[in-house]
Amino acid sequence: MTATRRVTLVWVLLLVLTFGSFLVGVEQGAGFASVGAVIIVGIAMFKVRLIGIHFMDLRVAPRALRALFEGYVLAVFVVLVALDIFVRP
Amino acid sequence: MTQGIQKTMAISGAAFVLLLFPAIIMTGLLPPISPMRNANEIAQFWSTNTGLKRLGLVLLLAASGLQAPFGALIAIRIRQMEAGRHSPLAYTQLVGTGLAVVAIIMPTFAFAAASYRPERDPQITQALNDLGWLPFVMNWPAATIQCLAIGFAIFGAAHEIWPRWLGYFNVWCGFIFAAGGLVVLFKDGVFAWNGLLAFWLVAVFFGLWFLIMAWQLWVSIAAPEGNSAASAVAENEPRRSQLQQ
Amino acid sequence: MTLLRQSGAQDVAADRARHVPGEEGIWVFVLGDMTVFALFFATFMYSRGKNPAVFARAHAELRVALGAVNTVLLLSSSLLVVLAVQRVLGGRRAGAWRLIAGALCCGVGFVAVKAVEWTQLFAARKGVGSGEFFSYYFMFTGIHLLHVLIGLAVLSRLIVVIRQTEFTDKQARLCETGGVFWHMVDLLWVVLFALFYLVR
Repeated sequence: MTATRRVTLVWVLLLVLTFGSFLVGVEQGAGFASVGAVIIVGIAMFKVRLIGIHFMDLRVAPRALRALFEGYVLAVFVVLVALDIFVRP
Repeated sequence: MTQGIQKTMAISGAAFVLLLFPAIIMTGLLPPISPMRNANEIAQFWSTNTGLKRLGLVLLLAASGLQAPFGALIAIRIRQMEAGRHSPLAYTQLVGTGLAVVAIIMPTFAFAAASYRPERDPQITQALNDLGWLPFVMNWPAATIQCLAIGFAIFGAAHEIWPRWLGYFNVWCGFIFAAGGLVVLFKDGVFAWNGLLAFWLVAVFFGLWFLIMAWQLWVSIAAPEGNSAASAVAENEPRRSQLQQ
Repeated sequence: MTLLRQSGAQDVAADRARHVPGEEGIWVFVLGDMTVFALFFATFMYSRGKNPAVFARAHAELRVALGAVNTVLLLSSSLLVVLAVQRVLGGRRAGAWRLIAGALCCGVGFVAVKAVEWTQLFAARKGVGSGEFFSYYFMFTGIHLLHVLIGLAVLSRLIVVIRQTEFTDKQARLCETGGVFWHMVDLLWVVLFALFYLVR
């Protein structure tokens, strides 16, 4: 696969994910809210990862930098989900 | 300008932070009093531990001046990085340094007034407290001017003195410091003068910036037999070296 | 390790030569900015947990479709920037400036949509002081907007640089660096979109 095709496919995937999470966001009912939030945040962080790996070209970056980025994506996902689940009025 | 003088100027920045921190604690500014407190609570605050607070304020003023030699040496580094007869970024940075000293002095005067006669009408004390806190946190132009001057000097450097990552760090810090400018809009939450983002985040990087810049100033002191324009041991007769350019 | 050597066999060559995308220093800026925004995200989620009903009510006032349009605009602009940078690094920079110009248009589109959104919100008397949700909304998307504007300036500069006659590794690297900044702007919006527009 050429580089051009690869990034274009990633873009298509990003659009699909955007549309998909848009649907989840719109469809949320009252009880669905928390699960919906986890899914939405999860999809968002996955998109962030795609942008970092394929657009920012972290694929070819030194492992340390890549690890930092991946660590960030994971940490933000975990923290946001934890806040969603555990923080109550 | 000997190595000894440069080293002293370099650590004056670190000394500033190390003196500022205890002075702020003594004055009771850490953690910041909430903007939501009413006049009586604030009058109460300024009536307690007055001796300690006033001493802290004196130390704040003493600390503030340490930014002057620090900023001056940074300006020299910028001058060394830039080509040409004039160094606009160095001058800009010096203006920022002057403002930085004022940034500490001005709020300290307001806090001093608040502390001076705490038995007066609480409304007045609250007003003085606001007059101290708002500029104390909102004083971002002083910091951001310096940061951007340093950043742009590094990016456009004709002679490489500092690493480029330091330029990025300064530009980023410049933006972070600007967050303090928002506090007039909020009385609570993360962007209030005691908020996580407008105060704590800014405060942490404020201190860090001095330490990192002090380190970079120190390690960029050239050896006495240094080379031409990059030499840190430039003349104490500026006119002569200007003619030589 | 000249960047200009990577051409058609870019994928294969890339695996053999790991390099920091763009200038190393930009990552100090990017990771720092991402971390600060992570703080923004966490603060928002925490507040939302404390005031779920208030947040849900305020959230309902946002036009999700506009947010989605903005997301598509930025994602597309990022694609165009990647394609342009790939061509520049592959030594085929002729015409690559048009891709950047396309990205620039998308970015301007983003600002335009945002202007429409905010005008509607202001007309509904929503501002930075209209409760927690909207103070976060305007502050965070406002700070992001500032990044977009800076990004537009960066992209404009890249167009000029790409069209220069004199073009060395240094200019190529500058393009890659500018690209990284733009992708960061895109990536931050992806999360903002999710938190403000999608999560209820």
